[in-house]
Amino acid sequence: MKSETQIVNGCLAAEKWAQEALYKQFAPFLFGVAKRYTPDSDLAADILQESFIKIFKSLSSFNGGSLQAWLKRILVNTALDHIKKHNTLSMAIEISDANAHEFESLVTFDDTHFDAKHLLMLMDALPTGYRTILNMYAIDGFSHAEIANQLGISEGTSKSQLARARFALLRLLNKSEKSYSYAK
Amino acid sequence: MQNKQNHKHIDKVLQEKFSNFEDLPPAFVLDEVLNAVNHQKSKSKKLIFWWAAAILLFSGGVFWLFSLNYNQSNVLTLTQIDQKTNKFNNQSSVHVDDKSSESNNFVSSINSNLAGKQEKIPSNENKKTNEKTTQAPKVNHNKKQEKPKLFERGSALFGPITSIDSFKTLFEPNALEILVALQATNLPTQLASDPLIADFSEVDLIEVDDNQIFPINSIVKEWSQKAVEHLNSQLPTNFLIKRSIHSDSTQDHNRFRLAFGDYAISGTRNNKN
Repeated sequence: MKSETQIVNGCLAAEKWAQEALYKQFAPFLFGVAKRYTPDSDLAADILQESFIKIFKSLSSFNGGSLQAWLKRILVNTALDHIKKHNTLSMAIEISDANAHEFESLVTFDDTHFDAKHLLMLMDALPTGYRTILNMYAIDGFSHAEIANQLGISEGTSKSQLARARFALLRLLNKSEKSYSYAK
Repeated sequence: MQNKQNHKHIDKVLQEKFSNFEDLPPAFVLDEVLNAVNHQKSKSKKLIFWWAAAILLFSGGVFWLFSLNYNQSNVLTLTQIDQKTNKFNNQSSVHVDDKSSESNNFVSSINSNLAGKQEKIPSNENKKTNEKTTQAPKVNHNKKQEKPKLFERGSALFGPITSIDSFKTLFEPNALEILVALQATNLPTQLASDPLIADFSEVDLIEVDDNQIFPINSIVKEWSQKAVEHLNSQLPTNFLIKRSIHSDSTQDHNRFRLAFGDYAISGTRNNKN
């Protein structure tokens, strides 16, 4: 089994085995990330493909640190480009920070009955703007400033969208949990 | 139904659930990626190859043109000489194309012949030419690296046809000196025993009156023609002597030049003296 460094060096030398190894090691994770950003599996595959091409082209600029985080950042940027290009990012009306804070107190729930696939299915039901900001902030660790910069919106919009997204997801979760209870 | 103690912030739930979330991508993606990446690599490699080929071709072309010009420089130089010294009634210069190995062999044979026949007196204008030392003139094998030196034979100056500056010394060769020069070209015995040559060797060109220059010229021309024909018949096809002799006469002077291979002899006599 080759180490990560050996694989990276192999990719830099355009070795096919290394390219395959890098892909096989990280593609499932990155495809999972891509699927969080788009409910369309074909589009997720396109995003993954485009990301890997970028990765192999720009691997020489990788300065160490977490390779997975670096790869994920490339994929997320590619996904955002696709979302912006397809103009699917519709933002709801901005709400005030105070209102957003009100929402905050409501967004806790019991996750015992939910696995990732179930959650993903619910997230797919969210509007693109909600899903995107929820992904960026809650899961991928972007700040509101970064989100605003990436998506070309204000920080306030980012915050309000996040609050609405959480609330919307929570409603879906509650509905889903009830269905689960009834089924049980 | 809901246990409040199990409640977590939704962000935390999402982080936990998706931190290691994986899904298998379609199999074709890997092929597409590898094709795209390696196609681009081979494309850029091809581009580099074609650039290199183009540069090589261009360099080769420039080198060829340069060497062509270099080879022509002797002829051009002779033309310059002609223009400077002229009103010649006959164009004379020798251009020897010595690019092939066959011709190099020929030149080598000339050189070895010269080593046996030629005598050399070091070039010194103040020193009179009866003092002789034996040294063969150097036939110019490596024109590009080394400029052949002038050498004297009697009162004649032998030198490479490179430029008018390297061959500007006036001298008065006699027929014998000319013959020596001719023999230095490794003329075959047959030609050397030609009556024309014998006659020619008897003639003192310098003493010829202006009125009598024509018969001499005709002899010279005839000899020249024979020499050229003979030499050319002996030489490899790409080792062609184009012109071999040049002489003229005006009221003021007689002037002639014999040129062969890379060497030539020339002479001028001031008739008013």
